Amino acid sequence: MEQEHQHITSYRTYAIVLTALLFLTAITVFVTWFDLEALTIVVAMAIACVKVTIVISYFMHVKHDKLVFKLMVGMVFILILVIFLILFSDYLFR
Amino acid sequence: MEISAIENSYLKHGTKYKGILGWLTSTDHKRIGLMYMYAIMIFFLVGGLLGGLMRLELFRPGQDYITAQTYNAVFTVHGVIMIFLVVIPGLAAVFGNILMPIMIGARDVAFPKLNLFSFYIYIFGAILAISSQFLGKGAPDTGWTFYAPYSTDTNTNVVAAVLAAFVLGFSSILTGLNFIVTIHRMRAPGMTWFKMPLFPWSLYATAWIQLLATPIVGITLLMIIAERWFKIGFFDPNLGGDPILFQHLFWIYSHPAVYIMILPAMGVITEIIPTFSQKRVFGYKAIVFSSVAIAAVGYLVWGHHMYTAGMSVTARWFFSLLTFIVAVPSAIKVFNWISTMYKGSINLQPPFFFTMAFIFNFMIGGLTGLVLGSLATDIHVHDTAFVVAHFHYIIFGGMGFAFLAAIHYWFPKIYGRMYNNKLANTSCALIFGGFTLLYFPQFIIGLQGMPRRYFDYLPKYEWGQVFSFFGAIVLGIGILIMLINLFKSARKGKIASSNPWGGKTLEWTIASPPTVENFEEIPIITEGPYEYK
Amino acid sequence: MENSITHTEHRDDTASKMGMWLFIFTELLLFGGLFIVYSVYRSKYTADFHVAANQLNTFIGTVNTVILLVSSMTVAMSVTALRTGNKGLTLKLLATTIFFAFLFLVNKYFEWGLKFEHHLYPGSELMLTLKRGELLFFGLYFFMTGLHALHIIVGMILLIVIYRKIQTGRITKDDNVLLENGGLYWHLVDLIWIFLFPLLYLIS
Ligand code: HEM
Ligand SMILES: [Cu+2]
Repeated sequence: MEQEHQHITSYRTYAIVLTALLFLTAITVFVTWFDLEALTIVVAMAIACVKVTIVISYFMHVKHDKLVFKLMVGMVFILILVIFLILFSDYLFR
Repeated sequence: MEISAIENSYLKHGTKYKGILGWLTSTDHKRIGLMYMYAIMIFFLVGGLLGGLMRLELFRPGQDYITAQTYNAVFTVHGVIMIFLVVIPGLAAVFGNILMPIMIGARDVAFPKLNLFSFYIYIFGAILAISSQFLGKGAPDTGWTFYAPYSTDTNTNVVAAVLAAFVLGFSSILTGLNFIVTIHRMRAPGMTWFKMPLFPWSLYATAWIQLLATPIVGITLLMIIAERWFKIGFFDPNLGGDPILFQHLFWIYSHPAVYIMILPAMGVITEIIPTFSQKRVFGYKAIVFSSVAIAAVGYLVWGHHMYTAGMSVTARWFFSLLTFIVAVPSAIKVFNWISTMYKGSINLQPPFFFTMAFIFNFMIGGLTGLVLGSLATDIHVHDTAFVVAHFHYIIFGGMGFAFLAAIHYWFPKIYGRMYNNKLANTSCALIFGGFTLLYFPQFIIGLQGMPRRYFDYLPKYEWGQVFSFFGAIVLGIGILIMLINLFKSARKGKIASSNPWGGKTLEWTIASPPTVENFEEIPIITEGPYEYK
Repeated sequence: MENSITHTEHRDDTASKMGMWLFIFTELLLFGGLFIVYSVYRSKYTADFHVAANQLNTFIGTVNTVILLVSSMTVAMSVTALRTGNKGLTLKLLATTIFFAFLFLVNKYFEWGLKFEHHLYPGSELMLTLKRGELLFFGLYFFMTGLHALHIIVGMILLIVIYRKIQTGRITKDDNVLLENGGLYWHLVDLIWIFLFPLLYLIS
């Protein structure tokens, strides 16, 4: 099996990614100082999802991986989401 | 083909060690598969004897041979052994290991050492499961479902049994992982996804379920242990927990787990029917997509085990709807099998008889599944012998018969020898007859209200239990005859040719039994797997 | 694929990486189960969860978040360093990652230690007197962070092994999939923390 071309991410990209992640962390902590009530969790989860996407795309370099990897990762997250939705068809309507 | 094929095969050549050690340290997928087979056979016999013990107790109403507490312990081990040690690894670990790499034209699985490792994890889990019977304060009595809060309260040795299920799950995950990577990366050149035989396809779909469903039950079982040790209250209503949440988590795994059992069985049947009809499989792609659809939708129907548990009404009808949807791909497969046989030149051999029995049983099991899946009727038959009959029809009548079909189909490939046809047919008839006599009456007394997991019953159910008892005896005799036939033939049977049935998939192009390397040269694939003239 | 008769272990990096990813999926679903439990009880006992979360130390939580993010970057960079042939830098970056992992555990030790001092630990008498929702929150807190810490420990050991292998030349510029996989595992630990952090520390 021939070795596939390996994508090498530059140090600079990683540094930028880290800055972005730290910035997002700062925002999540910052918004908790205000009382957004139910929105707090929504904002926190939205930011967490963005962060996770960044980590997966760059640190775990799925962005430069073959299509199968992207499909698999996408599938797993969709599955988790669907399980949540179906489960809450019980808890929300009880 | 002379005796030398056996001398050159994986049966005689392995690692640098000789004898038993050569097997125990071998990373050859065929040897690992065979070791699984012997282990599973032993556990099956143990589990079967326990089942016989329950039938004996139920022969008459009232307490006769064992106490109620012992009865509870017996159906718990029976369930744990049969589900976690026999049918979940069953086809994938045995025939998946032995044949899948060959069928896709590979020399081994992607991670052979991991493969051996998961075998040892399996053995470790098995030891834990068995030791739960003897260590601590009495054998667990929760049933294989470990429902909370009873499982967090009972004094019996639940922790060991739960831990065993956790460990066995880990073994199952690693096997699934190995198969997915193998199928992605090691198909022979030219074998595109849609030129792959259908047994590997079904294993692929199964492997994803193993991978994505097992962790959920893993964590759930760990929570049970944490709850027992630290009183955390996850599932204990006294501490604010919700016992129904345990059922959710448990069935999120355990419903997909039933597809772990049946999907490879369907794959086996899909291999056997074209060979014995000498005809191209009907609707190759429909079968592929139905496997994938079963895996996907099957993940989302878990709630049909909980209709009476106290879920919201919305959830109940929704799960009922989804359950009906999942029956569609299963039915598609049955139609495909029948259509494949239509106008084929049928060759009536033992594997084909077992296959016919499979289709018959599977249809009864599947249709009664729909009775259970529809909300209104399930309220009536939930937790009765009807459920017991349903899942035995699917698991034993389906997966079990597929296993027997598979062993009779690939026996000449695995051992290089042939069994006695007449004895095989006799055993098939006895097993089928005994099975029907054993489980069919359970449908009827279940409908009449016979509850499951009870050691005693009202006299009006006695006739059914008596039939079942004699059915169990016939079944046992059939299994005994089959085992004698196979064991004798494995050592002394007539030498088999490399392709006794006229099969077209890759395993029939190599020597019987295969060499360690499987292929002298990796074949280049140009056409589909079932191109009969 | 070569057609050699011998059972040569042909190297397939994509296969190894796929294996690692599949394993990561199982870990995600393992924690997924816990997140399910968390969300169910949070929706049931919203007020109690807020009160209980107030007692967690947001500062330590934030510091640990930063630590994990930075360590994720250093381990990612170490792959770049190895691929560009800079073994010395690779080792330095890995050592930094391992050090951060250790720091995370030290913080966790003090965080848990404080809770234990206040008699807040699974199975303690005080816990059983709490409101139901608070009890569940702390149960989940200990279970989830405990399991996560276990993964940190495993990741740390993995990285140490990889460090040794690079030192002794068993992982090289051209054969670096093991380092990559170790890195993937470490990022997984980070991923889970990214969800744990707001859910446990920031809902007050
Ligand atoms: C057409 C497909 C199927 C449908 C619609 C179906 C439906 C159901 C339903 C609704 C129940 C719950 C009954 C109750 O507890 O009241 C059930 C139980 C069960 N089914 Fe099926 N089923 C199907 C196929 C299968 C297959 C393929 C297997 C295994 C290979 C299986 C194994 C089981 C088991 C083990 C139980 C009992 C679990 C327990 O409570 O111990 N089923 N089935
Ligand atoms: Cu089910």
